[in-house]
Amino acid sequence: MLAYRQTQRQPSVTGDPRLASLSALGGAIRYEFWMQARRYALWIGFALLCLLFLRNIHGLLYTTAPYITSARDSLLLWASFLNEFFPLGAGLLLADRFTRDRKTRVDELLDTTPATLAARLLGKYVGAVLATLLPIFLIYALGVVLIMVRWGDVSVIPTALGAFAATTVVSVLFVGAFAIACTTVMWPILFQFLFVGYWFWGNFLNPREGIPTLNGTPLTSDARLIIAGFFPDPGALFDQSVTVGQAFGSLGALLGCAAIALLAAWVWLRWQAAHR
Amino acid sequence: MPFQLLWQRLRYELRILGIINIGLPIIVAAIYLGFSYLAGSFALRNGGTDAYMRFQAGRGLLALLENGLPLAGGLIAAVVISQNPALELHLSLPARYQRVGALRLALIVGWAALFTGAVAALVAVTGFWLPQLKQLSVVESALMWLAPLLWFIAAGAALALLLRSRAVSGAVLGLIWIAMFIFKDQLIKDPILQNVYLFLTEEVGTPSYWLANRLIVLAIALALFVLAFWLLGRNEALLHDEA
Repeated sequence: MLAYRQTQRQPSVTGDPRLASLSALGGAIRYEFWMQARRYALWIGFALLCLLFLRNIHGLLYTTAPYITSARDSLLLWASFLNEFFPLGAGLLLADRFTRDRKTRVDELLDTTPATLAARLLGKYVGAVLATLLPIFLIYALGVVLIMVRWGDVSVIPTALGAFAATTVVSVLFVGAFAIACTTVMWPILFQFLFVGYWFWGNFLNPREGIPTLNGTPLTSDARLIIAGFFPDPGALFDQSVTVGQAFGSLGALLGCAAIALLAAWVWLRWQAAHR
Repeated sequence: MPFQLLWQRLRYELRILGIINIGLPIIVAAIYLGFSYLAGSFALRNGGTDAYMRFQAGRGLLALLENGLPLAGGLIAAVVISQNPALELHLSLPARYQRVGALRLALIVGWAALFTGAVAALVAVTGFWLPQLKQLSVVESALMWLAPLLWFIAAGAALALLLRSRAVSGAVLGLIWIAMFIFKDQLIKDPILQNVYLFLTEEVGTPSYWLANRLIVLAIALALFVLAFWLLGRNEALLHDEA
């Protein structure tokens, strides 16, 4: 009787497939988030990088460059500097998330559960990306606190959050999607090498070298067009010719490509499952 | 008979290494060759001379020797040294896993050095060796690519054993690789750090401290190999929390 009443109070999620998928999605996000967040190697890796950045923080805080005249300028430079590096680390750390299921031989077991492939894939993506953003955000926040103390200005907190969302979150969403999608079809070690090479080619290769590059296009994955467009700076910190429209274009291009990568991965995995 | 046993052992170890780990240096070389070809083609298309075309293509090939193949070697070492599905069984056998792991690492070093050396020889024979490198002796020319190659392989193995994660060790190697380009000016201007800058020949050339730099990088690589060898002998470093 008690069990019957309990089923009456709690709507059955198995009756509605959409509710079942949402439930599976939520479960997958939580599970993947905690699995990634509990990897102490993730924290050790980013802590090692943090040491490298702390070596340069003094120069960043006390620079005599003419274009750094306020806490806002310092903050935007910090956000831009962080974003040249940490999304690369995030992408490399996410490269083994998909293949982990195969390595531990639970992928076929998961296929037998009611959770749909889309829910599991999206849950893996969102959960793992959010967990990987956690140490990056903490390092970013440390830099923001030091900047606020240096300039005695706490009014930059909204700008700090906005800059982080516009740059690092977008970049990590972009690289995370490709890290998970590409490793459905290639070995993680090959992806890691190609990704490192891509990060240099797409963000640091001078377009005047003569070799075609994504650097300077809306698909520049370190989000420099986004920060230049959304946070114009009269001190010429960034490219002054970038408009808000171009910033939105870059944002849309990066997130759109991320969505396409995940969709392609879903289609491929569905085909694979159907032909197993 | 001993040769047959050795050959069988080698075939077994190559199977453990896997086709992707053996093939990764070849894939990397193909990618860099493609970029070098593009660089040379654009140089000619923009009205450059044949010598300028060779210079631009040669820069790409130097990058392959000094930063491309070393990174590939480091990633391979990080993966191979940490993968062994029958590790607990192996640790229960009389044959010491430390010796097996060291031999596997030696196989990676041997293959990477052989391939990189062959590429370097091919670059020299085809006339794409940069003019400023022609002053180096044969030993110095080998040291140019051997030092960063051994550094990355040793670092990959040591990181994989220390961090107990091939993904994180690969990430750290990749970030060190990018840091060499982002922080180049700071590293080169510092009188201490310039001696450990990994891509010195490609980014700066052959300054007065070049030989000291290569020897110090080699010494660090050897120290990291010793660390990796020591970690291979500690089963808690291999078995995670199960020891």
